[in-house]
Amino acid sequence: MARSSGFESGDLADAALHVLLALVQPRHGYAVMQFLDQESRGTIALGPASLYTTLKKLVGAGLIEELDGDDSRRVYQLNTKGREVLVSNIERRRQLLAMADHIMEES
Amino acid sequence: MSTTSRMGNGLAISPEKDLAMFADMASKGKHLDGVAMLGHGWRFTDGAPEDAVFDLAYEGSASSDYFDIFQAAGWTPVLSLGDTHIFKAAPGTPPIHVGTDSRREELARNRDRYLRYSATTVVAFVLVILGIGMTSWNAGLEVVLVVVFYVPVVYTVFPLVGYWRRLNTLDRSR
Repeated sequence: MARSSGFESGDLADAALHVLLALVQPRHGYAVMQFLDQESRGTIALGPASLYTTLKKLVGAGLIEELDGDDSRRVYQLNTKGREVLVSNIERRRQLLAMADHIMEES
Repeated sequence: MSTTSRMGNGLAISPEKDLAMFADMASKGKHLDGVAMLGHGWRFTDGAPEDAVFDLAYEGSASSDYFDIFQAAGWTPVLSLGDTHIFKAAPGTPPIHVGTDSRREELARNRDRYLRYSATTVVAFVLVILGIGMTSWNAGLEVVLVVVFYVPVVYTVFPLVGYWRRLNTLDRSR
């Protein structure tokens, strides 16, 4: 049975959202992993197979692009559509957190 | 350089047994470096004992980028067999797959591929059996034909069952 991870609908899982955040600046695949590890102080651990799969899906969904360059390593960056999806996913999570705060305050 | 061979357990069916064997052999100074026994076993070369864990990933179009990402995560490529890539790392290294999505995707891709292969080999085998049933050939030729067309069935259906079982196990654990 096929499973949707939200790449088509734009409702992204956390791992894809993390990768999109890292690709606000152009980065190699392995640099994405290092960036997320540093920025999250080790709390975001993305396995290499998971990262590679996520990058391929984001490219396939048209949310990130490979940049041309002399380097043999692929460099990825968020494109316009990817930025829109990133912003909407952050907003969705903001709303969720606001709802959670509201519920907790009333409890 | 001295080498040792060990029978494999079927990487598509129970990879965890072979991965545990690689780690055990490495701890004894015997390092995985290839296949043996016509692809049914593993070859190890002697070296210094090493404390390592092993894991595998499947990728049909593995580029240098792919391996860079694994290296950066602490996983050293050991051996690639087609689209199956075996890696080793120091114990405690974060796993290759975090969560089940990427592992599931790999297994589903392999299941679908082997489903196509199996359909082809089974149809070919059935056609040969029907052909033998409908015509009268030399008995020796018939045996050769049955064997030649049966072997690919085994080598495609067994991995298919393996990938299917692992996928079902993964789905039940979600």
